[in-house]
Amino acid sequence: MDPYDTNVFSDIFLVLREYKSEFPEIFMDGMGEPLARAFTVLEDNTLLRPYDRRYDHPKMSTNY
Amino acid sequence: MLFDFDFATKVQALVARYYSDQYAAHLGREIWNGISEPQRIALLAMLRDVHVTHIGRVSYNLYVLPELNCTPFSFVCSKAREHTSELLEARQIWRPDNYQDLWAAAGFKLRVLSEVWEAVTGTPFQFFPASKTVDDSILMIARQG
Repeated sequence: MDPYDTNVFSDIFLVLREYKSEFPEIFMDGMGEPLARAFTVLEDNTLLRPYDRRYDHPKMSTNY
Repeated sequence: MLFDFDFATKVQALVARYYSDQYAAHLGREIWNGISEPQRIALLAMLRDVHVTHIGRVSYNLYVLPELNCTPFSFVCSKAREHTSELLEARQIWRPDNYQDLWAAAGFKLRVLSEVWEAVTGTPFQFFPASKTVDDSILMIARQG
């Protein structure tokens, strides 16, 4: 894994959250696919709005 | 996914759309649309490490597009909001007055990333100029103070 992979993944999470309709292959046709199911499960724990002020959110608890 | 060129291109285009919309929301859609296209591209590039700050243009190497998301949007946008008239009338690419701030913000993020990386892996980034980055951050903090 390269250091910039974190940014690549955060970019992907951002567009998957903001522009679901641009990815019908994931969210419509492929809802049963592992990638779509994984994202749906994780969605609320990925990026949170406002994305550029991540410290606005409380720290993750041990429950996370 | 990372090696799917079509998918990666689509993601980058949507990221650019997202930040374009953010600029428009903060500056006003009319102002954002009134800024020249090269300047708009430069403002988007300043959020990444694809903007050559001391020259004022976008890096020639598009392969760096997915690399470090260096400078906080709120920083560049706040500077742009202070200089909207300059942006609208600019004949050259506008950049924040103290472009070191652009690097300092990036340097601070890189330093944090480097320290986390070293803590997790036990080894620092290869070829990473840590001392320069720390110096940048200290200068930035001193200026803010």
